[in-house]
Amino acid sequence: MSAAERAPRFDRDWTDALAGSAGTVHLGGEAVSVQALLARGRAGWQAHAAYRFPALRGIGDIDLLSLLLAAIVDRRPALLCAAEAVAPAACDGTIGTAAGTVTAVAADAHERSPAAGEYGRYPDGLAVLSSGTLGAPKIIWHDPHDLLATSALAMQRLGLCAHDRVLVTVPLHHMYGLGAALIPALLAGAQVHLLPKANLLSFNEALRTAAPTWVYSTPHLLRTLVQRKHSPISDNCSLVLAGDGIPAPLHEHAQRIFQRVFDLYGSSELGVIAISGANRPQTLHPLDGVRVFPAEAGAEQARLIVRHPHAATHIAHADGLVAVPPAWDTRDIAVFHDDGGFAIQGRADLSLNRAGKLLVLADLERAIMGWPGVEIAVAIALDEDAAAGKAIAAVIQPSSPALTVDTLKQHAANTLPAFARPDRYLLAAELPRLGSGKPDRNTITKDYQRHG
Amino acid sequence: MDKSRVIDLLKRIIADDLDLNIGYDQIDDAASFLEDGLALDSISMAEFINLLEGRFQIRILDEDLETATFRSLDSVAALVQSRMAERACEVEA
Repeated sequence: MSAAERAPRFDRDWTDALAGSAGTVHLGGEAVSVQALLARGRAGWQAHAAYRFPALRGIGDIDLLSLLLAAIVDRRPALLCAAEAVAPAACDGTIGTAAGTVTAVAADAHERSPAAGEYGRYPDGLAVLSSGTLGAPKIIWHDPHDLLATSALAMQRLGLCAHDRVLVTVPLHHMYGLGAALIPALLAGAQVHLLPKANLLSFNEALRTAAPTWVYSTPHLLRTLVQRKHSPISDNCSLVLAGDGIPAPLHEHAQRIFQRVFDLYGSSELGVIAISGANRPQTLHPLDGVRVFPAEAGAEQARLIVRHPHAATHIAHADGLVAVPPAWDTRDIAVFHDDGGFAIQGRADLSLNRAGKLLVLADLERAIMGWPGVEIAVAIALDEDAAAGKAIAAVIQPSSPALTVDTLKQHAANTLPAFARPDRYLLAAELPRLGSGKPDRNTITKDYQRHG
Repeated sequence: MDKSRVIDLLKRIIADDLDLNIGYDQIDDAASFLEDGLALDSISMAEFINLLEGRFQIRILDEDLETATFRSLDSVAALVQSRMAERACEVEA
């Protein structure tokens, strides 16, 4: 279905605002205005005119970024994926290999995604390839009109403006980097500094040279970037954090370094859903026009359902191509507040009933990561019974060599209700991680089940 | 501690303590920590700095964390020597 075939739109089209943006992007030593990026991108697409639906792999240089912006403004179909991703078979070309060249899709690229032609005609729009950390990767199509509308709502909520200098340390092939950071900043006409592979060195240099007024990061990345900082990096720099598992100590640390810290909640399917108030991580407030409600009417704690006016249009996964339903089940457990706000506790499929109470494992992990000496905690539900219900193991990477299992048990007794206390603990010097920096839960669980 | 000894210890840290799947003998004295060399990611870089501080009993400052310094083992070794000398002065004082 093309954008033109959808229902008539009465909301503002932000395409012209992006095309006319006074913003500039700084990346890899280059500083390029949005106008120049668009011109470069349009010329680039002429060179790639033979491709109907190419994959843009790893938006890590100005050429790829130019193509991306031109695709959004001119509504040219393209798929965004990580630099190391296998381009889905739905794509008929790949742009952005190691040398920035174009290649045909490899013959063996059919293993993870629907085959070309399987569904007949693909939707128009900009697609993202989900990372697959919650299951098999999916292709998710967004109408650029909606992508821009959500980005504009995020811009307005955060108060981004043309005077801002926005440092983006997260990848642009995810909706967080694209729809919450880059596009809102460009709509505001800001200076955008991109750090596609941020580390301590590049982050410190960017702080010195760009003097950002906003930093976008994830908890796992932020932990490495700011662990050595103990005083404010400036008197006017705000932080946007998105991602699960933000332990309270990390939030407190972030609030000492940044003037304001905002938590952002969203998904690949919906884009930005809600943003917290400054330094108020306890409550997320939906963007204007976004409705959130519990799966069970009236419940204070339940699966979060979202009606988003600018959600993705279609999703392709192993079962086929489906339209995104108007009410989207996020599969996250939320606590609903009387003022219309909510707080995310964790994934519904990683929660269990213990002693008649719902225990969300992410909630437990956050609590454990608040204990002294704990760097990372991963809670695993075991296939055996304990006094409170299904047994739980906590696999912990310590930040202090002094941490012992006895200390952990003491912390649990002091801070956790009985039903939430892990039955077993395992200390691991180094937990396996995903490319995003998150703990690799699947591998940790398998390793625990294999070796205990 | 002379520079060759520092470089040797740096190689030991990289080979034995960082999850880079690279052996001691594969690390060149001119190896860069950046994209064009060992390409330490954000986590490995943070770990490496912490290990430097622990192993050499020094403090790496924020202003030390510059790309130019981490372009080679040699320049990191020079930084370590400089910080070790400062620490020695502090102890004497």
